[in-house]
Amino acid sequence: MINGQRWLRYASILAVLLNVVAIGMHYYIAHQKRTLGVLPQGAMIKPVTGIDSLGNYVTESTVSAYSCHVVRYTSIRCPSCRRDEPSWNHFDTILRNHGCDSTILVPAATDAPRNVAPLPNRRLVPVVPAFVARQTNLLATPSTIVFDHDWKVVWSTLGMLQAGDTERALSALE
Amino acid sequence: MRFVDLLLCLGLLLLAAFIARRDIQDAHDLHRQDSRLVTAFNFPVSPRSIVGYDRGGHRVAMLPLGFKRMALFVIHGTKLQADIDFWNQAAQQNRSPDVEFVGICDDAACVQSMTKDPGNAHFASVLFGDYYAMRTILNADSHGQIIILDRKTDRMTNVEYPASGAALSRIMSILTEKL
Repeated sequence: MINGQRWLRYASILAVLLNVVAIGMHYYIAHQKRTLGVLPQGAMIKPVTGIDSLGNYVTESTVSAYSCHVVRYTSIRCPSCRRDEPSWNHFDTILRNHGCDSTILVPAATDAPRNVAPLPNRRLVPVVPAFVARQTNLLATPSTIVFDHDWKVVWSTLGMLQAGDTERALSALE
Repeated sequence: MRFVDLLLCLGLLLLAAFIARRDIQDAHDLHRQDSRLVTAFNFPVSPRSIVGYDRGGHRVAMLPLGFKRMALFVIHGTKLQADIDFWNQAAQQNRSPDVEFVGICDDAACVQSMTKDPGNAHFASVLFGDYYAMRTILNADSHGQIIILDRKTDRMTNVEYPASGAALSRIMSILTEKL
């Protein structure tokens, strides 16, 4: 009887431990999925520089004036990007109103969206130095990354923006 | 009471088995997605739009025209002058008018130096370029390779980064083969 009770206790402890491990794994995989193909939260990069669509140099000092930065990787050849445009426009406007600047990167200059009106805090950068491509290492369009002032990733997503993403990005900046 | 305990314990074990099974499926999905993403977005592409200089030090917006083959390689900012000297030597050895060497700056120091003195390099240089194409060239460099671009077919072939004069001669023969 005592042995039976002991056996049951050990089995219960084992069951609890297995659950803890399995739930931990679940959260790990969910986190990995969330950051698949895009810079993970906490990663730090140097400022995204290049030459904008107007032919101006985008330097470190151009972007350092802003309290946060949004980088969008998109292409006119990508159907999801076109479908995501209203969500992106909303996201972009809200974050720029919050003090961020936004930089639109494209796989090739010929992929650049035609309808982006450049603003002081929104620029389309068709050509970049190699180290920007190395650091950001974006694999697929659309991708959206939000950085704090020091270019530390606070929020990122691969694929179309989802309802609530603007709020999540904003709260990540708090 | 013991029966209830037993049921609870069994329930917990079943729950753990259920979650673990889902975890394994998710891990497989993640691995599949990851490899699909890397495969789908890792095909080689040459730069179309660039900001750089031709071998004469004139600013260019695309890869130099009039050449049948090009060697695309990274100029490493960490050993800038050594790389420039090496590729200058390669450009000097080149007797073919159909071949050009194109170096891609990999850091801000290289970009600054090339902007300041483009004539220092006797080959074409790329300071800024298409995002995806830059990744292609960096990817080759990370594997210790350079890219040979056939302008007629747009075919890109990766070859070992030449570490010696003999390796450079091999690359020269690849570049000029059946031109």
